Amino acid sequence: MPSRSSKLSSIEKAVQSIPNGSTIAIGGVHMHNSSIVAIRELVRQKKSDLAVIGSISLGLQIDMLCGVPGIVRSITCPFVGLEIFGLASNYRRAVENGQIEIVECCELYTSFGLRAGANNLSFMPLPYGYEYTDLPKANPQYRCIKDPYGGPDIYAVPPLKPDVALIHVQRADKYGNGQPLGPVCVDDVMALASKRVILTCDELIEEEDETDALRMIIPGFLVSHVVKLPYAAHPCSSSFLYDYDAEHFKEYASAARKDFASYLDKYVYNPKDHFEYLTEVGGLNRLNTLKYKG
Amino acid sequence: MVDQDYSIQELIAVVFARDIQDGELGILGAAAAIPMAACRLAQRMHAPNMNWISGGSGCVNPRGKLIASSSSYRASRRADTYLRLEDVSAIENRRIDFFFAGGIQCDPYGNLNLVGVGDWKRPKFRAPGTIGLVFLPRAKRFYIYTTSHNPRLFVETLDFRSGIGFLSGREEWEKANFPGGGPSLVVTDIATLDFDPQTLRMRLKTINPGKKIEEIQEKTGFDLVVPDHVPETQPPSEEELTILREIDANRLLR
Repeated sequence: MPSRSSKLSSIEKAVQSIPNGSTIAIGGVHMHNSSIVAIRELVRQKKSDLAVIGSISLGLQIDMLCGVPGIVRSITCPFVGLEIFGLASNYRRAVENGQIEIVECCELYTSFGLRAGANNLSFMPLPYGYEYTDLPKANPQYRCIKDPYGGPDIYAVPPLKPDVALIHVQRADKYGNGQPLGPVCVDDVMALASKRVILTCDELIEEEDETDALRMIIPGFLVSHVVKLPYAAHPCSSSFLYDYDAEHFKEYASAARKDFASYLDKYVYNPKDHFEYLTEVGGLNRLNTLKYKG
Repeated sequence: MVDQDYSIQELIAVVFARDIQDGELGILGAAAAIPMAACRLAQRMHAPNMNWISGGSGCVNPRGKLIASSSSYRASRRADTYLRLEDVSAIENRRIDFFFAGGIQCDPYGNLNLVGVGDWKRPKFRAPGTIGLVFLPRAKRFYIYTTSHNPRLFVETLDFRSGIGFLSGREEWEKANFPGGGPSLVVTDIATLDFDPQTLRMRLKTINPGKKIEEIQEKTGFDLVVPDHVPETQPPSEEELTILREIDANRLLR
């Protein structure tokens, strides 16, 4: 019997497969379920000229990339902030200094845009009334169309088709089939809209494990690389495995405000791999406090 | 005896809870400890059949200890159901009774800005972004809240309109013919405001204990409609505080 190919990869190799200038999509929401190990690796590999699409609400995921000039060309994300930890300072500075192009948008621009991309539709119509906001003025990709069924004119959003989606799930098998244990936000649609997916997971589903196909939300045939690393979402949470690291978020928020170079040295450039990073953030003592205990 | 020394956050939650009716459907966004507490308190006090959606996570009626991050998976642990994000949007578009909103600028008609201050291309201050504010004029009513009532927030003219309030007043609002009812209450650290039914401009409703009308007008960057009689905001009752602190066991609202 011919053997099936494993898609297991190191994070370094997975991220090396992303060319400069790519359009990348980042999954998760706020401080939850994002592949932060992949974000750090993008910075380590000094990627440049990336167009970044964020699910609906992100923070550190995009802010860290904005902390090194040249990595990000443009951002399409309806909300960029650190939720309860305040503003995303690197993002804020980069936009205020005109260093990054902002594709001004609302939540439906990305969720419907990804749906249009996933279904290969030429656009998705929006609810009536966008002309009463300033969104179409700031982003001409909001286009006014006639309702073919006789209702008032409406606005539409274009399809989003990222080159690669960075998605984190709690469990996956080596063929890339991924199982989130909590809310999925738009990760499933993002996977379908993207040319391919780089999937990170905290735990590997072994061949002999019983699987629950109904809860495998990410189909493996969309995935090019599977990376298994513990605490791959840290400092974000990973549903029912560990919480977001509030202390680290506070440290991050303060570093992003005033001394981001030191943060990058300590947590991104100096650790030789993810395990050294986990030691640097406090090792098992810290990580155990984040573990989900019910 | 419960400690009657309540916080501003607790007072804001109580004011909203009193306005929420039994049988309604509400929604709130991220970093929403105050709105979550208001919904939970209303359910316990007088609205057992009210339902609310924790926007970022899509969970309906979370019942665990109040959490700081409403988008966390933790919201799902003791909740009724879970909605995918696309389905949350579907509901936001046609079924919501009350929606909790905020902004970095709010004008006299309750229009909101979450994008930035100054010229859009080169802002003096870049804010997080519009996110779900486009759904505001589709809800039966929406609530605005802040713990810092100041003239940089309450401005005569927005630098960017992300969220639709009563537009430029009655004429334009009626012409636009949105399915929703517009903003209904603005609850701040010093006062509760509503909207004048004729002009649809913001109107002082109650002032918090110890505050003066002059102070509220000074901290508002536009002229408020001030009725002849402005009562004090009714402080939380012992029952309200007791239940609120059971819900808020982590004391996030202190």
